Amino acid sequence: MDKHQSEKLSAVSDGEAVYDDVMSRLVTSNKDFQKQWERIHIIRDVMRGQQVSIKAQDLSLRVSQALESEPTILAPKKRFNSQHLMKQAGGFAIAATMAVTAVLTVQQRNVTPQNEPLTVASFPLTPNQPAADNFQTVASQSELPRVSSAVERKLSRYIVNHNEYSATSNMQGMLPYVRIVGYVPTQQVANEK
Amino acid sequence: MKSSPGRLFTANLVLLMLLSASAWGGEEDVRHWLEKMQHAAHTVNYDGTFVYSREDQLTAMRLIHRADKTGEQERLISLDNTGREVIRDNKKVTCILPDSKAVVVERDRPAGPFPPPFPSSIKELQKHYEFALAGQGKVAGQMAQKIYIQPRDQYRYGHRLWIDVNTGLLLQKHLMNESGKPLEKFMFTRIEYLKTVPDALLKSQTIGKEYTWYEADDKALVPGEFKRKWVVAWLPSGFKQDMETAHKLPSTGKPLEHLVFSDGLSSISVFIEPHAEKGNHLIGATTMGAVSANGRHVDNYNITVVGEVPQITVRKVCDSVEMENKK
Repeated sequence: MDKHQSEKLSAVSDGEAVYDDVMSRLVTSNKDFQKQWERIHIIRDVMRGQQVSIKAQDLSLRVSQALESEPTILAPKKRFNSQHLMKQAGGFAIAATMAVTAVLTVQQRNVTPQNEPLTVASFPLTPNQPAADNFQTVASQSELPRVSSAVERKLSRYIVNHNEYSATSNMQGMLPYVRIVGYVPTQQVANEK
Repeated sequence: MKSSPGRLFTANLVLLMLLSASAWGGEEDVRHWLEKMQHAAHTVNYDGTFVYSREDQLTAMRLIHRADKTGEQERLISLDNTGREVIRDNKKVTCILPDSKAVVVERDRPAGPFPPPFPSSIKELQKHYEFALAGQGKVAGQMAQKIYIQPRDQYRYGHRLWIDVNTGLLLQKHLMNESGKPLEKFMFTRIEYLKTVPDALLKSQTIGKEYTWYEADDKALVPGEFKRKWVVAWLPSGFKQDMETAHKLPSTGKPLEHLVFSDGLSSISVFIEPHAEKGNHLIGATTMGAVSANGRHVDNYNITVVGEVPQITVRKVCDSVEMENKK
């Protein structure tokens, strides 16, 4: 899906463009388009405060599709009897699994030590700004190239363990885990693997 | 009518007293709201839906939290295609990953007092951050108190918080970069406060027989196994060591040391492991959304520093890590 198609999809979702035959063909024939279409509608419903429910059969279907399409990477496939057997995989088990499944977008640059000017971060204090203003965010370091997938995996482990012990987790409960659960793999990353 | 010098002096005195009271009251108010938020995060029962925005990602999620005399239970569910979940109780964190047909169980952080106290005094935090009450507004239909937190140096990020005036729950949060731009946002769009939370809401419906289970091994913790002591020679002012632990990496069996430092709002982790595999260690600076990371070699060890702080902070911390016996 190219940028133009993605923008048109968003515009149709927002009612700013017409759902025409071209769009219909794309949505029905392109899996990436279908996923993007579904995501946009879920998020739009959530933003409007509407109840969003994911049916169990939807999740089962996703799991089945994942089982069919993805190889077992972490460990040999296990057969289970009546009980779930717990595999001892060490203290970084979650992190290691996440590293395989949720390869995060990591960017790198060469570091050249320099004297940084002391600049105090600032933002305007505008007491009456609407709470639900635009939801745009900026990239941390958008100019940085990617690091290797092996480095990405290791960093994923580190960040999961950092979350578990950070002061932010203590103050905000589960919210730091949002970065793990909410990660959406991109086709670009998948192609690199 | 002209003001007499005496009347002017009295008016100025009253104004001065009001300003002093306002400043003092502001500090007390900020502490009140932050403590209320901290308490609510661990004690309120709710079922809510929110959106999370980071770089070019926008994701919808559902969060359910229960607190009773047995402790806390939480369930975070992705509403997108991944179907991922994290379920957490007093003892463990369970990560359900349909996209890798795995269930992974980690131990929770060491148990402390319940609910945990606010991690730092507001007076200490005010040395490093400027706090401002910024009025009230509605989020997810609830009236929320806005608090803006601005760092006093370039070594930490800013925060904007929207706290439910009735319950204290954090309803919206923006993490702001050094330029005052939002790096990461989350916002509840629906929140339902519940007297009790049914067990069914806290149980995953997705785990099947096909799933492989992984569980963290208590014996994998090896505190004291490191013979060398490490020193972190530079930290931003106000950062103190929160925790030191060690893990064994399942892939190599080698120990990995993990140090955590915090100023009460932001945290930095330092990971130290013996150098084993070529090519998989970070050298230089990276980012993962709002998390910055920096890595380098020290003798035969790999040092990696991560945290929700600017790049400059993790780099300076990483550059300062050295063995104690080398000093």
